[in-house]
Amino acid sequence: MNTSPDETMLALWLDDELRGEELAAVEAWAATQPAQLAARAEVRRWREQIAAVIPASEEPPHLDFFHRRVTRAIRD
Amino acid sequence: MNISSAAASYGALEPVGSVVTGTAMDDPDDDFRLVALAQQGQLASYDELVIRHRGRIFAMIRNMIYQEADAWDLSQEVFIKAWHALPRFEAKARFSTWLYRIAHNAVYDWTRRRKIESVGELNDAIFRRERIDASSFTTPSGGEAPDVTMAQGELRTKIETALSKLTHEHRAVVVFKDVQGLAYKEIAEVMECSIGTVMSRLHYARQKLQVLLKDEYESR
Repeated sequence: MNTSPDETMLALWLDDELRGEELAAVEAWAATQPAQLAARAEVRRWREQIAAVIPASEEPPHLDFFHRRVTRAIRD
Repeated sequence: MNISSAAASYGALEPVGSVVTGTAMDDPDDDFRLVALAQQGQLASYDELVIRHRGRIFAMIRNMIYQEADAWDLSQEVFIKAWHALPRFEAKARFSTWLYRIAHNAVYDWTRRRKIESVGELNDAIFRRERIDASSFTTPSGGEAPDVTMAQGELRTKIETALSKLTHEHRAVVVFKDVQGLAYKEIAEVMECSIGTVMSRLHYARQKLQVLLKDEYESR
């Protein structure tokens, strides 16, 4: 990629959402953009940090009661 | 959906604690199969969907409101609403995305109610740190050394405190993107806004968090 990616492509690249040809094109551009590479590294560090301490999934407590209440509400 | 016959076809929604949530949630094709069966009235299939998704829905809500008891109630409300809305689910999006949207709306409504009840008008004061349930933090599992566990607990507290200072919309994009791992497109569907808006909110929210967590960033 000879020209800068647009804002959407750049944001998707920063968050590792690009795949295939789009990823390759932005990677080629970013190879000469140390500030952008540093920004992506920062985003990755942040995601790793937050994922390490805040779980994406947590079973609700009192599962029996949880399911009983859902069942009762559905039947009613 | 004939709920009476559906309920009769299945004794009760039984919790299955051994099911690993979060991984099964990443299989949208199997979700669609279960949704189709549930739409035909098979409560057992809906039970499987609840088991698959309850962990992420509960965690997402808890990370938004910091009140475990209310998160527990709201999570149930989400699954009950989803059951009643299931006949209208058309599989244009992942079932998980659709559930997140219901959960997001439930959190938004809860937030509005709490704000109105607490101060009589809308403001973000409800999310001050002192309102966060002191019992809401959990000990990280996985056998970490005590000092690591303590450090992670402290970091979690700091991050949750910082998140609590964001507006509902900014906190939501961080929770959906950085905690739940949703793609921009999915977040836009959940929050019913454009991808550009999601990007803008996320950019601002991360900048704000960086300021709020300045000490953490500088110590790395």
